Amino acid sequence: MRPYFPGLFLAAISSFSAASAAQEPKAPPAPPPRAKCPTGSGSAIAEVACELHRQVGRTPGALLVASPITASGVDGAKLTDTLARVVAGQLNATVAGPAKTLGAARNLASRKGTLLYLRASIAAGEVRVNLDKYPVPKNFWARIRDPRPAPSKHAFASRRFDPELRTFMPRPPLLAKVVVRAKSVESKAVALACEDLDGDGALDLVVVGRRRIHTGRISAGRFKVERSVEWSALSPIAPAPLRQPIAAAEIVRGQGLRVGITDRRDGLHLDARLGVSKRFRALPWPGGGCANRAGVYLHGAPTGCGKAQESSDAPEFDAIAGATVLSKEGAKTYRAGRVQQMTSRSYAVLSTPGAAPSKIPGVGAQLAVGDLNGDGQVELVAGTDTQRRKNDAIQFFSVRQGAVTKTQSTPAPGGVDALAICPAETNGRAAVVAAVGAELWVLR
Amino acid sequence: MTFSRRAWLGAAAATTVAPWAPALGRRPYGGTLRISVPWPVTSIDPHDLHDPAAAILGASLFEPLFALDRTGAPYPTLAAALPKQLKSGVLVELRPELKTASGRSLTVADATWSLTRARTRGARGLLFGLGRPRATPGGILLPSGSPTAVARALASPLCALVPRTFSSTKPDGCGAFAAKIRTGRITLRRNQRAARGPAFLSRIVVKHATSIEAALRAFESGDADVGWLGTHLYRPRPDAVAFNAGAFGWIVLRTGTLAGGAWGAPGVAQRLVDALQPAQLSRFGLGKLPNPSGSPRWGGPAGELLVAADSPYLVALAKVLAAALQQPGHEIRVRQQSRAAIAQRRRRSDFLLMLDLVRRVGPGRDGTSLSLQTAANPTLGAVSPSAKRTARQLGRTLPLGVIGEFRIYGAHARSFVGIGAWHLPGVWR
Repeated sequence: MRPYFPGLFLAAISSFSAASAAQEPKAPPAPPPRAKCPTGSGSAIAEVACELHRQVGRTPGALLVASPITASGVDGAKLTDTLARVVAGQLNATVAGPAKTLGAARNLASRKGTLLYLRASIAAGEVRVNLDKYPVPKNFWARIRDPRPAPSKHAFASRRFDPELRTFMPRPPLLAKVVVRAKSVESKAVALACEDLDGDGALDLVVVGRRRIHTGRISAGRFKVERSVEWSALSPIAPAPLRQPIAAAEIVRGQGLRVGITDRRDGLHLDARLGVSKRFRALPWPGGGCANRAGVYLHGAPTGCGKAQESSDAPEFDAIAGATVLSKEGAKTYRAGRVQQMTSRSYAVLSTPGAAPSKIPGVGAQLAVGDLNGDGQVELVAGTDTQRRKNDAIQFFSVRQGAVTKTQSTPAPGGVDALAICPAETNGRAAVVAAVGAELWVLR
Repeated sequence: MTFSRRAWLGAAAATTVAPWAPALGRRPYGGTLRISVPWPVTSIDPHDLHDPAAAILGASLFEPLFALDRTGAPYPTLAAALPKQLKSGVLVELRPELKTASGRSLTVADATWSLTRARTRGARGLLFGLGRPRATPGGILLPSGSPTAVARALASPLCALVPRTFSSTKPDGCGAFAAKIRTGRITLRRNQRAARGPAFLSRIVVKHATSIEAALRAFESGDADVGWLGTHLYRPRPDAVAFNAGAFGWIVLRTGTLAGGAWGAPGVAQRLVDALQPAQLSRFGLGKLPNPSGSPRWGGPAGELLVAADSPYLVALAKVLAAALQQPGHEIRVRQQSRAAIAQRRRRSDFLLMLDLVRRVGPGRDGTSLSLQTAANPTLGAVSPSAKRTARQLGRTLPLGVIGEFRIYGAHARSFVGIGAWHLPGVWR
């Protein structure tokens, strides 16, 4: 739109700028934004606010208005309000109250120098937040010249659901009600991992076999391979492999895939393209650290990857799993390992620092650890301690203050070869992926 | 034998580690298997064509560079890959960081030494055509043969790799078990450094039985977990499960230079043993024996039937044979000698008759032919395997007669799983 009185318009702008600069209250010197905000170690809302602060910087005196969230089953008003207050606090802005449309927000901010407009959405197990910084036309002529100025800054942040975010959503059931079966790329996978590997916001599934590693997604009843790599191209054979391999895989969001198998000499850190970024002579322990070989088992005490084993009286495991679970007390790393018994039932040990380990009897050598319903409490998923495939089952155990409860057992007569827990994709339950013979089962 | 492209691709894809075992609850580690055998347990030499302990336990202690899959295609085990054809020959690359059970590094020099040693012993016929192995920075170089022929030959248990410090009384290899020999027994313990994976069992104790009956009695009384050549002697054990792992070699009767003239000629021994009544040999578990034909009577000079004194099985069989073969004027006495003396006289062909064990060098009729031809002529160089003839048919052209197969069968305690194939590293309980 062309101004009718250009000279006057410019004069008005310049006089306003000088006046507003003179009137703006002196804010305390803003701390420099953090170079990197934490991920998954604390409150997701606080981490989102940190990310937005890092991108937008402090905006003292700005008015922050949130757009309403429309997601089924989510208490959008409360979530928007909480997000707006935490972000405003981080940016030193003022909150405008209930959620508003952008037009209403502009009107509200007409007496402020800056409008921060926050839009939040819930998708793929994440809260995703956009923040736009708008200049506000201060007078009549400015509003005539540009009634809807474009944002001068834009920021985006997202975090996976944590127990706090889950309080704005209905509590998902602990029981898996739906089993989706898909044809696998490996007839007998040895490990699985499920997370967003390539940073595109969608979950990737990693299927580890004895000869190849595949990444891909389940679509139309089959696992569609996106990338594959031969183990032989990644690592030489281990000097003393095990007859029954022990394998582990974990996708660390934003960092890549950690994977290892006792067939091969090296444990590996792979990037999203499955290129080697780091090697270590140990098996990666999901949840962090590594497990060293102890004869035909793995040491039960995790170490730094490639570090010598420190002496410990921890039991030796023939399967390992682990995960970081966010609870109200913060992030907790849970580790599980299975102790094989010849004369009695084999059992899993689930432990976290500062608590007595829990013993879970009758489990097979396929384990996965995670928070299935987002309540901040850990669950263990395991196969059955059987030598007969037709007797196998996927067992779910819930652990509350050290007390173990078996919540579900889904028969898997093809035999469970590997298990993984995916991050929750919706505001429902986290999916469990199981390699059952030549199939992949997704239990939701 | 030729190989299709598909077979080669299959071989290339095959892993060097042990075949898949179902994970689920995983096969448990631990347990001791007790075996009592009427065979000597004082030494094990994987390169000895006539070593019974190597036939019974060799695959548990030693590994060759390659193995054959079910289709007969070779795949690398201690080798890093299938052999490569170079201008100067065929190169076999060794897997890095291999260690023997005693903790010694197994290098290209050890591998070359092993093959050279095997080439002068039981794998003579097998390796002679491939030329003298040579250590190179890239691996072991064999000057002749094709990559396929090299891989197949080196898959023989008689080409197993051992360190240069090897001693048959202190055997050391890369197999699933480590062996310790003491008077009257071999104790195998799980080898944590095993190149293809440690065994499931913690231990196998192999005791020397003074007779076939004593070996079987040990199973019946619960002192052993494997019934050698039978399920019971007097009454069946309730938890006994019959098994038959098949033939691991042959029991042969040799004729030597002392037989002289027509009775020392090739084919005589086979003609004699083909005339034996199967009923006389039934307790020796020699496999299916043919209907007798001709006369089993020895017509050569009276003399001795040599047999290794520490092999109760062979001694018992020798006594039956001597009684069946001899006739007035042509008496045969069983003479027991040490295995060292037997080996010396075998090399010089300095005997009248000799009862011997011949290990299987390789699978199929090719393997049969190689085994028996190598055994028949200790000074023989290259051997042309014949895929057309059975062991007995071959015996008709050789100075040894095939009495029957050296079979491993009998019964085992139900609590042990996987004994049926006699692949002891994979046995669990």
